[in-house]
Parts: sequence; structure tokens; C-alpha cells
Amino acid sequence: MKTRKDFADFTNPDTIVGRGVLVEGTLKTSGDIQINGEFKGKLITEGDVVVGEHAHVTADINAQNIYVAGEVIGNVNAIAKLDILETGKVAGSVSSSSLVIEAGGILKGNSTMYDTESERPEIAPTYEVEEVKEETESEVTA
Amino acid sequence: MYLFLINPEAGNKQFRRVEKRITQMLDRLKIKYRFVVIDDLVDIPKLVSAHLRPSDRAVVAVGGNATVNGVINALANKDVALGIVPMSKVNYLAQSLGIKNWRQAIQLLAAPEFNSARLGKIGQHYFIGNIKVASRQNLLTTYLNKTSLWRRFLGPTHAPKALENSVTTQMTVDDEIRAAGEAKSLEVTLNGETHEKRLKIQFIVGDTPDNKQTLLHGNSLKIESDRRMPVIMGNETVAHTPIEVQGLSKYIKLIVPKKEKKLTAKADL
Repeated sequence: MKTRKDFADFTNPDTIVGRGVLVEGTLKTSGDIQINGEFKGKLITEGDVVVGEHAHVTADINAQNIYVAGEVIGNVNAIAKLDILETGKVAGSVSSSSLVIEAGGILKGNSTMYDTESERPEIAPTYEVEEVKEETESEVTA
Repeated sequence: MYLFLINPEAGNKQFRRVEKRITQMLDRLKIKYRFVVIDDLVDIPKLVSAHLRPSDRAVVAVGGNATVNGVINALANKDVALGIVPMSKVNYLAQSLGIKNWRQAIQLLAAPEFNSARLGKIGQHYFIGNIKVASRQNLLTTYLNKTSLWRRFLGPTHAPKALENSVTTQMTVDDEIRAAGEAKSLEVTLNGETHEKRLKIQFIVGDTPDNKQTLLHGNSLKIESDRRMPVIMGNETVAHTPIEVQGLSKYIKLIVPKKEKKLTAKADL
């Protein structure tokens, strides 16, 4: 599991939304996502999500570990850990196996903790998995 | 047998100066070849159709970026490999493959090693590697910063002058994701087979790449901007915004230098 130090060294994400850029839509990937700018829509990944200090995210987020140093409006689902850092702000329902809110961090909304392994939801599939599923379904129908 | 497509105008008519040495080297290396001279780059597809034989091992583009781009376009739907013999100092693709000069390129043909590269498409143009999109002013500034002897002499302590010209740009990735910002530059690179998406899109909106770089992946990309920006392949302008870029599931075989084997501790022993 990533520590605070790892978060600071989150240097090789698969997807980045830089400062000064607005990205809208549904972003699905299997890699890590870093948001430093503005994002609206849905974020779905099998990896981790970092919401940087100056980021504004209006989206539902599904990921393994989620680190929030900026602002998130939406429902947040971290399979493993949700870490709201001292500058972070989350407004919405959150669910996670582990929740950390550092001094100064803000959570406005409901929180659900996954008690056991079986309670943890699976992360929404990425592209490849979706394609395989479609093929399987059509084969079954045929 | 190799089919050589030669642009005699490339690199300040370099081929005419080295033609004899090239043929001598080909003969010495016992490489079979046919030379076809390109009078007009537009004719490359016709020349390929007219001269390519099923037994040919590869088509060899002899020239600069425009020649190579033309040959890639002509070979995109054919199952034949591409060799490159650079005839100018700015043959971008040759450089990116590690081919330093025409001598090395000819030597590669004697015992060719092949590598597959994904093909992309901008409008009617096929490409491999990457493309750049930026305002003319930014491209010129970057080029001058790179080539300036004075800057080379001063070294990294004197950072290049900041790019001042930004263009309001909108991108649509896979018709699903929209991104907007004041673009300084944009680079689209074709991903290899291992990545789930075919295009890597880097979008720079600031002078420092630290946290002003946006990195997205997709299979298709539409770029629109409030001012027309050139699309650069190598150092050739092939289109202007608005454009649509596609990463294809097609590949082209390239003749590349052999990978140097790294010595391991065991080997050293």
C-alpha cells in the first residue's frame, strides 16, 4: 500500500490532467491517474488516483488507492485506501477499506468501510475486460 | 533484392555525390538492388506499384523526411519492409531508429534485423513514431533553442526563452473524453503493442512541464484550435488543425540496427 511518501513520489502515472486543463468525460484505465487540473465526469481505474493540491474534480471515482490533496465533489470508492490530506476536501459519499483524514482534511458526506474481503466491490472493468465480456456474452447467446 | 527509391534532391543533392560509393559498397556486401529515381514525391505510390516485385525483401527510401513519409504512405497497405538510407542530416526517422548515416544504413541491409512499428493516420497521411502540433512561433523558438551554438555553449544554466505563444485548443479522445486548454505544444506518439491504447497524447499548457503536462491515451484524437497550427512529422508540415489522428492496428516492418547486447556480470566473468 502506498504511504504518504509514495504519494509525493507519484511520478509515473499512466494518465495526467495538468494544471490549466479541463478534461470532461469518462476516463477508464488500468494505470494510475494524477489530476492537477480540472476534471468532470467519471474516473475508473484498477490503479491509484491522486488529486493534486490545485485540482478540482467533479466526478465519481473508483480506484484502488485514492489520495486527495485538492477538491473532490462526487462519490469516492477506494477498494483499498482513501487518504484525505491536509489540503484535501471531499464532498460526497465515500467507501473504502481504510480511511485516513489528516488534520485539516475535510470530508462532507457519508462514509462506508468495507469490513471484510467479500464486502469489497470489484473495480469497474477496463476496456480490454469489457471487450472480452462482450465476446463471451455473444458466444453464449450464439 | 532491395528496391531503392531515391530522391536525388534530398540533402542538397547528396545522392549524386555519394552514388558511386553506395553502389561500390552494395556490390562489396553482395547486396542485390534495383535503383528507381523519384522525380516527384507525389509519384512514390505509382513507382512502388510499378517496380515492387513479390520477391523483394524491402523497399529502401533514400532521402530525407519527406521521402521517408512518402514511402511509408505507399507501403502502408503492403506486406513489405522499409529500409531507410538517410541523405540529409535531419532524417528524423533514421535518427530515431539509431541510423547515423548512409554507410551504416547500407551495412544494415547486408544482414537485416526487422522491427515492427505501429502505423498512425492523419487525414490521408500515414505516420510512424510521433507527430507534433504547435504554433509556428513555438516551433521556431524550440528549433532555434535547439540549434543555437550560443545556447549550446552556455549550457543548461541558461534556460531557453519561455514560449509565449499559446493557442486555445480542444481535444476529443475516442469521442468520450474532451480536454481543453491554452496549448503551447502537443505531441502524439504511437504506443507499442503492449499498451491498451494506441495513442499517447501529451498536451503542454505551461512553460515548465512539471505539473502543466496532460497525458492521455486513446485510439483516436480530434484536435481543434482557435488558430491553425501546423502538424509536424519529422520536420515536414503534413497538415494543419483541425485534424483527426488515428492509431491503427496495422504495423510496418522496419530495418533497424541490431540491439547491442549488454554485458552481464556472468558474461564478464
